[in-house]
This record gives sequence, C-alpha cells and structure tokens, in this order.
Amino acid sequence: MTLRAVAGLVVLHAAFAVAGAGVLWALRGRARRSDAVRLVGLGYLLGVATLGLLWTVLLTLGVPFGGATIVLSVTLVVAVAVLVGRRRQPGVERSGPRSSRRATIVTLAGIVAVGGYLVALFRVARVEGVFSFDGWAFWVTRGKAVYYFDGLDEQVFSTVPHPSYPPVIPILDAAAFHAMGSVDVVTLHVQYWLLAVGFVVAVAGLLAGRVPPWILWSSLALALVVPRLRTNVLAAQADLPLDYLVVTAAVLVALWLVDRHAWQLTTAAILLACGALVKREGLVLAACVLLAALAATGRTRRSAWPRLAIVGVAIVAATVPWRLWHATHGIEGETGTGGVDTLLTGRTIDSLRLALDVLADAERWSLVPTIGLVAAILAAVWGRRSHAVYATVLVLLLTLAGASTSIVFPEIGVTADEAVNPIVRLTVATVLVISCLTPLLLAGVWIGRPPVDDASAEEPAVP
Amino acid sequence: MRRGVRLENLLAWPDGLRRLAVAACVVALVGALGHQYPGAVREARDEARQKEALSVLDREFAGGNSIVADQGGLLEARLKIPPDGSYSVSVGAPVEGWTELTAPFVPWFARYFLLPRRQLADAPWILCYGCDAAAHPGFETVWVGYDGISILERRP
Repeated sequence: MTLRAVAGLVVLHAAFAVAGAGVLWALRGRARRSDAVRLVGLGYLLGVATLGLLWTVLLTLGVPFGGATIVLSVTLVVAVAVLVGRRRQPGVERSGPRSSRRATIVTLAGIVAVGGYLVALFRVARVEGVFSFDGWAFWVTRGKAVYYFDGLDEQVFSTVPHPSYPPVIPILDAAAFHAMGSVDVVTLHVQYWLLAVGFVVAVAGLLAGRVPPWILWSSLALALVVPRLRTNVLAAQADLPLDYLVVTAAVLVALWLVDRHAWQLTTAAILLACGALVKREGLVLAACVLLAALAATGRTRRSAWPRLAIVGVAIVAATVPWRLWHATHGIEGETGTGGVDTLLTGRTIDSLRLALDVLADAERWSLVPTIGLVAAILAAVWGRRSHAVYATVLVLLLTLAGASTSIVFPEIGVTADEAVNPIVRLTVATVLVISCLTPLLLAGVWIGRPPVDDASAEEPAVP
Repeated sequence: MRRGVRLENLLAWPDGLRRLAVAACVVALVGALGHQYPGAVREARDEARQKEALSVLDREFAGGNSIVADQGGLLEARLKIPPDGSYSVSVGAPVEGWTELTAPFVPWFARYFLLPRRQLADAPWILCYGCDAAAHPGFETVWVGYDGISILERRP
C-alpha cells in the first residue's frame, strides 16, 4: 500500500459521491442541508451505480477506458444532473421528529461502535491480498484486462472462467487501478472497504429519522459483525457489492411503499440495474425485490404495478448492451442444465431444506434471521402490514432463489460446503435484507399502526 | 413529565405489550452484538497483524502461494517476457514442491499474474512446469529455477 494509491482511490470514490449526489439532486430536487448529509451514503452508491451503468455502455461500444474517459464521464454525469436538478423544485421529504439529546447520544454510540469495527477492517484492507479463487481466477483478472487493454478484451474475457459474468466490477477495479496509478492488487481492497462503508452510511441515512436510533444501530451493527459476513467483506469479488446495491434498493422500495416518492423508486431502479450488471443473479435478486413490492401493493395495484413494471423493464433493458457484446464476441451465456425432471425430484425439497437450514444457522448469522422473523410477525399484528408483507415475501423469494441454484444446476451438490454450492454466499443478501428491514418493522410496531397503513389511502380498496 | 408517569404511559395496555415486544427484540439484538462484536474486532486486528507480517511478494501472490510452488518462475517470466508479449504454459508430471493445486491451476494463476502478457496457444515463450523441453522443438531453455520450473523461448 502506498499513500499515493490510497489517495487516488479516495479521489475516485469522492468522484462517485459527487456524481451520485448530483443524480440524487436531479431526481428529488434540492435537499435541505440535513437531508443532503443524511443521504450522502445513498448518493455515493448511486454514483457507483450510475457510472457503472454508463461505463458498461461505453465499453460495449468500444470507447477506450482510461483516465480521460473516467474524468469526462464523471463530468458529464454531474453536468447533466445539475442541468436537470436546477429545473426541479426543492425536494419534499417528510422529516422525522426532532432528535432528543438521548437519541443523539445513542446515535453517536452506534456510529462509534460501527466506526470502530470499520476502522479495524481498514487495517486489514490496506494489506489484504487476492486470496479467493474467484478473485484471482476471473474478477481481478478481468479488471486487469480492462486496465491494460483499455476495454473489454475479447481474448481475456472469453478465456477466463464464467465469461458471461457482467463487467461492472472489473470496470470498477480498472478505474481503481487508474486512480492508484498502477495495478496495486493489495490496495485494491480499500475500494471494497469503501463500498462497505458507503453501504452502511446509505442504509443508516435512509432509515435515520424514521427509526429510533436504538433500534437502527443495534440491527445495523450486528449485521456487520455476524461471523459469516466478516469473513469476506473485503473479498475482491462481486458478491458483496451486488448485495449492497440490492439491499439498499430494497430499503428504498420499502420506503416507497409508504411515501410513494418517485425518486425513491427511480433510485432503486438505478441500483438494481447496476446490480444486474454486477452479477448474473443480480437480475434474479431485482426480480425478488419487485415481486415483493407487487405483493405489498395489491390494494393500490392500479397506480403501483405499472410503475413497478416499468422498473422491471428498465432493469432488463440495462443488461442489453452487455448481452449483445458477449453474444457478438462468441461468449455463450451459462444457462441451467436441469429440466422439469430435476424440478420434480426430491432434490428440490433437499435444496429448499438446505436453504432454510443455512438461513437458520445461528453460528453463521447470529440472531439476525430469528429477530427478523419475530419483527415481521409483530409488524403484521401491530405495525405496518405493507412492510410486513414486503419483508416476508422478499425473504421467502430470496431463500427460494438461493435454493434454485442446485435445482437449476443439478451438477452442484446439495451441501452447505462453500467450495461446492454457493447457497451460503447467496444467503448473505437475505441476511442483509433482514438486518436492514428489521429496524423499519420494529419502528412501525413501536410507533403503532398509523390510521392509514401506506399510500393505499390514495385509492379505494379494490374489492 | 415524571419518570414514573412516563413509564406508566409507555407500558399502558394495550400499547405496552407491543412496546415491550420491540424492547425485547432490541435487547436480544444488543445481547447478540455484545457477544459478536469483541470477537469481530479481535479477528480483524489479528488478521491485520498476520497480513502486515507477510512480505510484499507474498501479499501479491496471495492465493497463488498455494499454487505456484517457487515464486521465482512467475517473477522471472515478468522480467523475460515483454509486456506486449505472449506465452503458453506447459505442465508436465508433478515434482516435489508442488501442491495438488499446482498442475491444474498454474495456467489460470499465470494468466492473472502475468497480464498484460497474453496467454496464447502458439506463443514465442513457454512457462514450463515440469514439462519435457524436448517436446517443444525450436525452443531453447533460457532460465531454470526450482521445483521443475523453467522458461523456454522460441529460437529466432
């Protein structure tokens, strides 16, 4: 690690934050200073997603990827955002109750606890190596290829394992190499640390003001230190960045169920679209979020469902450039090898049982799933039912999605061994979703069910 | 408001029950956090110390240390093969010093480690892992290291 490399990374990620703040301004109007600070993490992730999407399109079109492209594209995003944002009215955001002194102290304690752990992780990030097989076999190899060959190099991209995996993480790695001034595969891990920090700040900022701090920080802090998550938070591969994007989008959709602000759904759409270009299962996870939102908006389907459908179409459309690129460069997509025969065997039941066993494993996830289940039941009885339905359906769908891997690919053994079956890795997204929605569910129970549960008041109930 | 009155309001039926349920959940979360947090910080601190103790090369090889046997082969390949050059990897029978991962995965790790040098079938350089040099007519051995690793270059 050199100071120059870390400084370069910090500048790159500050550029993500500036670009994302601009996009957020364009989407929701000018924010009050307190809101701008609260949403700085969301702006950062939105910047990563926006530039990830833009760079994917540019690279599939053959635009060389170098320092000039990075600077010009950040400038372009900021300029367009400012032009659009200036025409908008100031954003209307429901502000939470004024924070009491006690709440401020609890918030500070939460920040100190989470911050203390993140600082400890930074000490690892600056000296970490690419140890994971997936990291060196294809994720970082492709990132190096983008850096050295100024784009999506057919020879490298077609010969590494899983050639049809989408390119956002390799592109972000290449951007990091440009920012650091060299292919420093050790300091590269600071980028993954920054993404983790951005995710925590994004979720905390979205929920602050809606959730009492003693509920929010206890759940968020526990999510960070559960045994399974802390083993791979710095891994130079796509799994956790995908989870950060999808889980943040899932929180935004949960807020949209109540507020129905267009910017919330649009921001979620951008995050999910980028997720679909981070890993192939990003599309499946996005579908889970949208299906859960459909289930939670049944009473307002006339206004909600068309919007959710548009989001779904936009997410699929965002993957088209990459799909066209790999199809026209002789790279075949990896489709499942199992058929209906596999679906109807005992293997399906075994896979579902395995997914549930893994989710219920307290040695991996501590009490997160258990408390999440209790919170969903409490919310169904005393809190916001729309949130209870959304969280429950989303967790069920994510669990099914995890189980589906060994059904769709019968060659994968039905086992929790991570070298054989990705079910544990896939369950990380589910556990993060539970951790981030549990505070919202519990806050709804604490405050009590409102006279109107959600935006369903806008429309009469459909008989 | 007096503390007693406030507590009474907080726990008044029927709202008291749901608030108690939320409080119980948060107590459980905080208890779990108290159980996990010290271990997580300790693990991170130990891991940082352990990785700080590694050499710069060991950090760069990282996962490759369990694959490449002697690091010298790939380091020498970086020096000998020009950055815009290409190479192939020829693997023969395992020799002492290799792990069970060496033979199957060294071509994969070399592709990662030696970029921007391209790994091509008919390349002017061969990274030879226990290979039979005589099976590559037209090439001469330009470097020999440990663990059966050598580098061959096509004669001009």
